[in-house]
Parts: sequence; structure tokens; C-alpha cells
Amino acid sequence: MLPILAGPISYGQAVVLGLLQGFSELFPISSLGHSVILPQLLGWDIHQNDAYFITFLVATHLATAIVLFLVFLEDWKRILSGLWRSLAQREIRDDNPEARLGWLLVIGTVPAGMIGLLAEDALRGVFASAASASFFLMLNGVMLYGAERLRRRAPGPEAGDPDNRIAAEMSWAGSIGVGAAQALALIPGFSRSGASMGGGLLVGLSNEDAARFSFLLATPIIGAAALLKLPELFGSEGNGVRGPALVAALCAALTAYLSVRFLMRYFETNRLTPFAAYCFVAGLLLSVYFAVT
Amino acid sequence: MPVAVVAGVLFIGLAILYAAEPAGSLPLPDALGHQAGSSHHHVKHATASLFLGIGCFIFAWFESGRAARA
Repeated sequence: MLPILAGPISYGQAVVLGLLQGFSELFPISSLGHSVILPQLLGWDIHQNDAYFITFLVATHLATAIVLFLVFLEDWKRILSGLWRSLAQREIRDDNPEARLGWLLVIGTVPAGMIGLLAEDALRGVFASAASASFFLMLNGVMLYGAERLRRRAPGPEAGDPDNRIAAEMSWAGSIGVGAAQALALIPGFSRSGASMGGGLLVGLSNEDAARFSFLLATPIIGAAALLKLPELFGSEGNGVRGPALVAALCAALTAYLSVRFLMRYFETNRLTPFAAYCFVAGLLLSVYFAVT
Repeated sequence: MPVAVVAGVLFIGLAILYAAEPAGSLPLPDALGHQAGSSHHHVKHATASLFLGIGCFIFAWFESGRAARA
């Protein structure tokens, strides 16, 4: 147990969980899976389905969403302006690619949003053990590797505005598919960003554009999920966890910022393969460990 | 387009129903959230219905624009 104890989650644990959340939410390695596995590995008395822990995670998710929104603030300004113009014009014109990207993001958010709203609790209840999270982490590695193998475009630097490239390349059906793939992340072990990046590769985006689309797609879904549960943080369920949650949120914001900066540069020329290898090997070793112990 | 408007109205109505009535009083089958004796409000169901309703209205808005231009 970490020493600075102040309730169900200590400040030391909050720092570790916050740093882990911000980092693993954006890297395609499953933040939910890691937040299930790590407490179990370290022997912490924290369970994924404990009401206070879910409330605690609201703060870290909200911090991640705010960081993502601020990092892509200029993109969001253009997208929101484009959306508004398209509503006023009652059509998505060819000279308004920001509107097309905006509606692609709206449509892509619907499947995971609906499944998340209606089935999140049930899925968490069924798959919340560290053993199952380890197994699904291994499958996440297979999924990432498969997406790289089946990609439709060779990796490499691209010219032009990335948002316009995505708007031109991504179809409506493709966006729904990528959005539906995000719903896999409701199962601890599968990565939301991994599923959406993999989906982006399958519909013809480059690694860089798939990562950008994934981060843009993540902002409304993570932010909305956190906002929906925010009243719990300030209600009685937040008693004893608000202080650690604030510390964790600040830590998550820091690692989320560093992660998104790193990943946007990394994916200009690199692939998902190292993350696939990490997930497969870590998932395999952890599955064996939890089976034996 | 009329179908989208009707669907939008139905979804918004459903959202109001979920928000206003506890699960035990919902005039809906169990698969859609009715739970005998429950005082729980299906806030998530209400939110999902609201967003689907808004989505239907936006679709109808664009479709009516296309029809007007044709």
C-alpha cells in the first residue's frame, strides 16, 4: 500500500493511476485494461466496479478530454464553424471539408455512444477481472497487428491539410465502422484508440491521419461520458475521492498532453506494430500469471 | 424526410418518458427498461433517446434542403 492514505484511494495511488490513465488512454494499449490489471498486480484493494473508483475515473477522463480538445483547438474551431455553415446552408458543400469531417465525427460517435450508454455497466460487470483484461489485451495486440497487415495504404509522410485529407478519404460507412470499433473499448483490454486507429487504417487512412481521426473522435465520447458522471463526483459517491481525483486528473492531463504530442509525431512515419507486440506479449504473460496465481 | 421527423418526435418523446418516469412505471416492455417496482430513472436511456431524436431532426433538415434545391 502506498503511504499517503486519505480514503479508499491514497494520493500515491492517485498519482500512479492518473499518470497511467493519461498515457494509456491515447496510446493504443487499453487504459481500462491497465486500470483493471495494475491494482491487481500491485495488490491494491481497488476494484474496477467499485462505485468510488468509477467516480474517481470520471475526473481523469474529463482531464484527458479537455487536453485533447485544447491540443486540437484550432481543428475544433474550424470543424464547429464548418458544421454551423452546413446547417445554415442545409447541405455539405464541396468547399466545406470541415463540415464533412465534423459530420463524420458525429456519425462515428453514435455507435460507441449508444452502446456505451446502454451496455457499459453490463459489459464492465462481465469482463472486469484482471484475468479477462489480460486475455483481451492479448487480443488487442492481435487486432492492432491485423489492422497493420490489412491496411490499404503504405505508411509515410503526406502532403496537405490533414483534416481535409481525412474528410476526402473517409466514407460515411467507414466512419460508422470506425465508430463501432471504438465500442470494443468497453471491454477492458481492448483499446479505444487502437480500435479506431486500426479501423482508420482499414478504410484507407495513413497512420498519421488514423491517429488524428482517432483523437478527434475520442474527444466528444470521453468528454461526454465524463460529463454525464460528473454529478457523482460532486455527490455523496465522491466523498473521500475528490482530493485524489483532482491530483489524478492533473497527472492524467500531463501524460495525455505528452502522449498526444509524441504520438502525432510518431505516427508521421511509424506503425502500430510495436504497440501490437507489447499488448500481445504483456497480455500473454499476464494471462499466464493470473492463471497460475 | 417525414419518416425522420416522426422518428425524431418519437425519440424525443421516449427521452422525456425515460427522464420523467421511474423504471417501475414505464409503459414499455422489460427489454426497453421496465423494471417492476424500481424507482430508478433511466438517465442513460433518456440521453441516448434524446441524441437519436436530435439526429433524426438534423437528417430531416438536410433532406428537406436537398428536396428544396431539386
